[in-house]
Amino acid sequence: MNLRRSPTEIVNGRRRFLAATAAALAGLATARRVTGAAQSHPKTFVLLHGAWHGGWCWTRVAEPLRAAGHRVYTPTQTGLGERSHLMSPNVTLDVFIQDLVNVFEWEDLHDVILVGHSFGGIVVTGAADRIPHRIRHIVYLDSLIVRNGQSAFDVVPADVAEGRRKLAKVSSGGALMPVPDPKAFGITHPVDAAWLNAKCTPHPLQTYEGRLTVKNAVGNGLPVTYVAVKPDYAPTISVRQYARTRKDWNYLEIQASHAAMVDQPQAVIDILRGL
Amino acid sequence: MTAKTFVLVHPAWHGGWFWKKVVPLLREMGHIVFTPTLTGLGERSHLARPGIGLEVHVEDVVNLLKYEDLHDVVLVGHSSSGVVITGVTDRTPERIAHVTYLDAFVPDDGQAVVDLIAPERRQMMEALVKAEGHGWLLPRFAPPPWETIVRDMWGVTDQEDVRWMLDRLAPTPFGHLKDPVRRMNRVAEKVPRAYVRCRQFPNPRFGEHVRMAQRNPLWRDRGLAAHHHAAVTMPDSVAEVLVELAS
Repeated sequence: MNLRRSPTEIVNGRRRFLAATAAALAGLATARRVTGAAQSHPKTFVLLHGAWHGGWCWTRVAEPLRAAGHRVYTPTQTGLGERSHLMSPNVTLDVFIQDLVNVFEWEDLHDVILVGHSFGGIVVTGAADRIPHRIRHIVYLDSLIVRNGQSAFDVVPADVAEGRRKLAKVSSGGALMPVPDPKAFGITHPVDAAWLNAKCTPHPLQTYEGRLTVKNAVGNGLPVTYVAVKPDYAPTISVRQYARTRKDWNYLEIQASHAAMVDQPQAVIDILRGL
Repeated sequence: MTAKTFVLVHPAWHGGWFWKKVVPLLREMGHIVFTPTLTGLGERSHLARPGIGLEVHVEDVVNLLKYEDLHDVVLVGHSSSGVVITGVTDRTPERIAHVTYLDAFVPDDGQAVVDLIAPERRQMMEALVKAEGHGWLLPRFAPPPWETIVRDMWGVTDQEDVRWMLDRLAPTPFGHLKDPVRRMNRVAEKVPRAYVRCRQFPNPRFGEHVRMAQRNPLWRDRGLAAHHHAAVTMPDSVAEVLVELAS
């Protein structure tokens, strides 16, 4: 599979989803039953952060997983975290999906446990639509879930959408949603709050307005685990109701803030190691 | 031996993928390893656009150190990314314990990669950028096709390695090679450093860098009986020397 593009291809088609050769490989992955026997075998995890965050937020989950011998990738979306110097009006949901798909392609990843946190769940849905043969299991960690043609703002409560649009308007003329107080995620410990305050960056509003384009159903036939946090995080209420109706998905609940990888990393690790 | 934090910076046309064979060797030894991909290349190639140059690439790495809260970093560059790691050290020396130039360019303040290669090579690159790169992309290291470059110029001969590389090498925003570096921070100049020369790759400039390193007490120098792409052809030796220099 050739990832190399000529300068002309780069100039003409910046948002390219990689080629049919990859799709020709294995076809759709067949659903696999989750077994405990997988525990000692090294696995590959790709952990995708949500709005305002970056790959940095996974460190309390990623480092123990690596110490246990697993491969863990924590890409940062263009325009956020360590990529915040790249923020521009060109950063869209499709760029986010390409960011994620490209990690799989360039690092040649297979059999991946792909985790999407919060908004990252939408990006994960997009990636699963394009490269299902590289994914073993999807984990939606208190994620937003949208179907083809829907945007993030279609599935969060109306007052949440309006509030964020307003804050974006006031702070940056509508381009960027300012970073919320960590309390909004349920984070109260001063050390955790300080970390988030230092590292979160504004998030492009248009990724919440942008409609997801997928050809297949959410999850694309892959094994899915939805992990909901308790107490409830308001923006994901309707999504959680939907997730519970999916009899073909595992539905788990953990006592944690919405940013579970920050305040309850062991609970997240335990779920991931059990897959 | 304590665990170190390595940040390995790939050169032009490559991506974080370049270090694929070295990473597991370092991790097996208990070290933490980051292999950021520079904007416009590798997995970030969908972001390529005019205006990306050395400044963005330095920022890519500086921001990695900042957002991942990295300290006592062992910063490693290869070939053209010697200029990137020079810029990164200049910007944020307090986070860096050691800098290793692996068959890499070592620029002075205000120099770019193009200033450190023969004038004919520079002219050849500029002509390629104009003819095939829409004025801002350098499609290849030299005019011949990638397979010739990888095999004959960079000494990668294993068929699987060649295939893997040919699938991934990408045009580089020319700014990476032509933008001058800022190297003015006196604190940065005190960071210990080393030059590792891949002796099978003829390069007069790298020979000069070795002689500089041998004369300068801040520098150490090592040599590998390897070609330019030692990270691909002799990853064990590369991992070994990187760890030795970091200790």
